[in-house]
Amino acid sequence: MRRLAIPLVLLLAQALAAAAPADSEVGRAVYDRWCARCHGAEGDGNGPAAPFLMPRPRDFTLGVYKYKSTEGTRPPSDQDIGRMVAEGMPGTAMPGWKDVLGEGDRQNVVAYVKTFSDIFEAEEPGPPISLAGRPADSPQLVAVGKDTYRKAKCHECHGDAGKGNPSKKLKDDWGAPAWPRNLTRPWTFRGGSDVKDIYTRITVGIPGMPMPAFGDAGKPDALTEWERWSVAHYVASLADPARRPSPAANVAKASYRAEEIPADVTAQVWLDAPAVSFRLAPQIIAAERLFTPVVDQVTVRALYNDREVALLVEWDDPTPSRPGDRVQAALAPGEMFEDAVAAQFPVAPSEGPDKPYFGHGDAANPVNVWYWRAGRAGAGSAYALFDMRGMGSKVERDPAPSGLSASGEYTDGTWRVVFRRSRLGDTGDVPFESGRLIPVAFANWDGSNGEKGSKHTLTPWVWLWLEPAPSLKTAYVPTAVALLLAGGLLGASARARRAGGRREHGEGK
Amino acid sequence: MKVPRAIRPILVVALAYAIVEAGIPAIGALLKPGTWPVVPAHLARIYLFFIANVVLLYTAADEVLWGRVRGELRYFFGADEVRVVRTLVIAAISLAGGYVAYDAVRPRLETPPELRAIHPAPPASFSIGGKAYDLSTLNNPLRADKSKFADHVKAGAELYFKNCFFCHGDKLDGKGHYADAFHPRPANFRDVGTIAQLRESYLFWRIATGGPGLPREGWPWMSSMPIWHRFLSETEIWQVILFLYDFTGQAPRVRDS
Repeated sequence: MRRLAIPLVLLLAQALAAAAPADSEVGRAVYDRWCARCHGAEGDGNGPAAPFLMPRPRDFTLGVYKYKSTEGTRPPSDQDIGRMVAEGMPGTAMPGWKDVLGEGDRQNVVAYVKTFSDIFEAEEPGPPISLAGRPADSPQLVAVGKDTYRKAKCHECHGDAGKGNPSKKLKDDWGAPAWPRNLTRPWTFRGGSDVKDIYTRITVGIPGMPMPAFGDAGKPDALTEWERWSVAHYVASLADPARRPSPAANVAKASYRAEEIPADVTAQVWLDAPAVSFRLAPQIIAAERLFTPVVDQVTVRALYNDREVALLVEWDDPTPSRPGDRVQAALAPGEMFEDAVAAQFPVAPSEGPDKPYFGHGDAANPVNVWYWRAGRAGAGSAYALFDMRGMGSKVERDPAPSGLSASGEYTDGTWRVVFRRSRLGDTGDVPFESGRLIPVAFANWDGSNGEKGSKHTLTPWVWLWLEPAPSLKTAYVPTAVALLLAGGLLGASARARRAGGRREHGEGK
Repeated sequence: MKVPRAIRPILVVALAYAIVEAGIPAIGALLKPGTWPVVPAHLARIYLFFIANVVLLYTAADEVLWGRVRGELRYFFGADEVRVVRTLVIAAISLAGGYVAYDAVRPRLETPPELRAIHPAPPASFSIGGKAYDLSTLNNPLRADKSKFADHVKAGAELYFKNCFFCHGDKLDGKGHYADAFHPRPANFRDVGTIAQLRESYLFWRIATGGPGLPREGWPWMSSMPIWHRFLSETEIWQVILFLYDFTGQAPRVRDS
């Protein structure tokens, strides 16, 4: 009986909590403690942290909520708002709050947030859209979705490959720049990445954003329920989970190749090379700082042969920024600088934990910086080699004696830049020995996001490892051990049988 | 079924191996759910070496027992009726040996262990722009006037949300929206192992001098903590410190008198 009592009491308490009407006055205290620093004490999205964030914190006074599941232009349900509070929005500064706020607190804070706008007094939330018609996933459905993606002109904003590279300038209803979602990265989908979440977004759109609702039967660009499900399945099929950065994956492995390393980044050897993705953080450590990055990760592959090492650095970027390119400049919210990327190495990697300071080295521990920039429109890209001993201490050096070169191209929303350098390099260059972990860090400049100079994104020190070429040792040592063991045991067996035979023979006498 | 004498020592060693690899972590999991504290590989090797030796000594010490083991081995290696089993066992042992050898010589990647001191001993004193601070006597000057405490905490909160929360998080849990891009990860102030263990003067030193101010054992080259005295005034740093303790409900460590 007692065993049952506790769960019963808990159930009862939960039922009571669910039944009790949410109290906006209690919610105010929760809001002031946890939410006001971003969303503002008045709910206008203007807390002290707001200027440093992109996307900006929600302005609750307009009653416009981006992620909702209710039909048409009707306000969101309490569940819609509650879900964002509980789960947070991946890829933004909004965390999930369920670890510090219980369900009652979350309901109260939802009730309080609703008091900032009178829309909830004027209108009832609409009924949630129906998810009952969800078809089973199939290649045919995805194919239909791919056609519908073009027919509905999704590619005009989300790009042909779904990388979120738009063909027109986009702003939200508050006037802030809006970049379309990169559909290959479901872990950044604010409102969830399940097919039914994607279907909900396509159907009701994202209020306040350029993303239209395709479920309004009255509009000319409306899609049928079946078409919307097909696009949702197609979008889900674009996911590239292998590119999701993980803090645990901090080694770029370079594979050995006996032949030349191809310049063509679509060559099979490059596609087969193991890829690792690193998260980029904005440079918020030293002046001038960048707080609102757009490009948030790089993917790195590496190959080497006896002579050279080559790094392929890829990143999805909504725009290829080359000053002088009017089409791209028209997409940028402000002045457009050139896109650029850099890789940094300690000149003398140590065997111990010591490294140069990750921000461009220090007086005692210099770093090499390989720098590639997109260049002005029509002029072609350029590269450079720098030696640095701390921030702002850049010394340019001729890259030719080091055998350093770099080239890049932009296709379908992705930059691909290949750095090459001779394994030994010149005096003052990091040597690339196979089998040894070499620290490396990356930096990226997104020109259309106003990134230039110290305003850039970066990774901390990660590793580059030239995987030793397959050697005979790995084949003959195991074979020799196996043969020795087999020989020894068979020999023992032969002796035992001879001895057994003699004994039998002897006994027979 | 009777287990042959020659097999028993092997079974005992296998059982010991299972206890070291799974049993000990299981006890740990029982004591602290959600964890699986494995025995370090080099320790496990030492354990098994001694266990195997003791088992072998035990088996060989008794003459009758040893005789039986030898008899069984002789039967296994010599008798015609177990020829198929014998061939299979020899093949299996040889292949397993080959694999162990392969595993030992194949090129492998092991990132070095991160033996970084998270809260290294601070210096006795440090100076910023010519002003010297003695850490043994340094106290938060803003605690003196109780009437202004709430204002300082409020100012500290604003400063925190304009400068620190990107990494240390809305909840002060070290999970800000850029936290997982940095390595080492930002400190979690809600954890009892961070600010609750430290004096306010220690926080002042860590904040003012940042990552590059760490001693060698703190790996100053890795920490992405900015040198905050370049961005914040002395009073502002003390205000942030007041906010950290007030918001988390932690109390700073005080000097033992």
